[in-house]
Amino acid sequence: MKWSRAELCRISIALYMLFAGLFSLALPTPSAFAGALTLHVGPPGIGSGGANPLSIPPVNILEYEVEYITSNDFETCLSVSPGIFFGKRTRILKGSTYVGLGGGIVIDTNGAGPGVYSSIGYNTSGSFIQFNMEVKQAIGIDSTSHKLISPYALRIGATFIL
Amino acid sequence: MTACQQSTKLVLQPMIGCRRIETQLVAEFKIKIEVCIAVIDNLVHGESLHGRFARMQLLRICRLNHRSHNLVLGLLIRVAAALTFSPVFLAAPALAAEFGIGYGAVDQGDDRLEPAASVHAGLDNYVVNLYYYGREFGPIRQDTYLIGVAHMWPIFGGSGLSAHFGVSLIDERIRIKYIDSLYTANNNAENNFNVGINFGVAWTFLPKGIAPLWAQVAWDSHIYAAGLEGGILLSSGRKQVISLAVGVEFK
Repeated sequence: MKWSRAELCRISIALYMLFAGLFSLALPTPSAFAGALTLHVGPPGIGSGGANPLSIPPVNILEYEVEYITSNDFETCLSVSPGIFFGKRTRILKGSTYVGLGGGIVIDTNGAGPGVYSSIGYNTSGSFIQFNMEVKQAIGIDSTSHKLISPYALRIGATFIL
Repeated sequence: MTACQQSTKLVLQPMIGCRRIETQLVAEFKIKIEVCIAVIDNLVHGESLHGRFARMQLLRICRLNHRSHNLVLGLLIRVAAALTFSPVFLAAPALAAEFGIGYGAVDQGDDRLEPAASVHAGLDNYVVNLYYYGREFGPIRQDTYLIGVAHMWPIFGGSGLSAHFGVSLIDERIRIKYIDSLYTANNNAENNFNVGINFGVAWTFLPKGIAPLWAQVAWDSHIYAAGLEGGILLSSGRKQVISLAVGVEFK
């Protein structure tokens, strides 16, 4: 059976919503801290070969990412590339450093489709705002060509404690 | 030398010898107190750091023994050290080691995978991954060596999943060699070396019953700054490796 690109995109979005929904149901009610919001900037590697492109000043939407982290360390990541993801963080090194792992829709210049991501990041201490640095890799299957796509991003930003 | 001086020397010599032994015994006693503290720490906290500290103390004792000319005292110290350290070695967390070889697929930033050979070695929480891949096209030959040295952390409990982060080294060798004398002037050789970061996740998936066999799927990114200025502006290049390694583990 061969699916059209539109059908595969719909399936990808449905799978993402399903995972996100299931994880959200599993979340206990946040208590002391409602969550955190991270704004990232940095050029992603979009599968075009060579070093990743950079815009000066950084006005390209490709370079931005927004992450929402719950009090239970579940995260939702929104960016054009590497994509849209939902996952879970594991704290290492006394909590300042974390490893994220999850799934979602992977997007790069060669296509888009369902996939997984992993990330490692560091947050400085701070009660309201924290400096953040994160590197994220993703791998997925392009919905059209059914080939592997694997964008990545090295970004810095600020985490706002909500 | 007078008779009085001779008699004084005869009396003092053994005393000085005794004092030396006594001083050494005091030093040994102090070390043993430190060792005991390390043993208690080790038993209470179970941290390998304390085990290492205790082993360092053992080395210090061995060095003292080399300096000591008293064979009996040296033997006594060794027996005492063995008795003191036996609980340390029993209580110290066992070092786990693993070694494997396998197959990898490398992506150089263009979503195209190239086959690679991989060698994996791990000791305790540290892993070393070596990847080699290359290709030959006419007179051009490219050989790339990637080495990742990283610290590993288990994630998601006992799922077999782990994350690692560390340093990456790359050595990319490109050689252009024409045989035809018409083109030999174009022969060239490049050797590009870079240092970057290495991070990724791995899954050790074999069931416990078939130890010491060991197998792991790893997904690594080796990221290098695109020059100094590019690095400041976060512009980078990446080699991604997906690998399967099979080998043995020792615990």
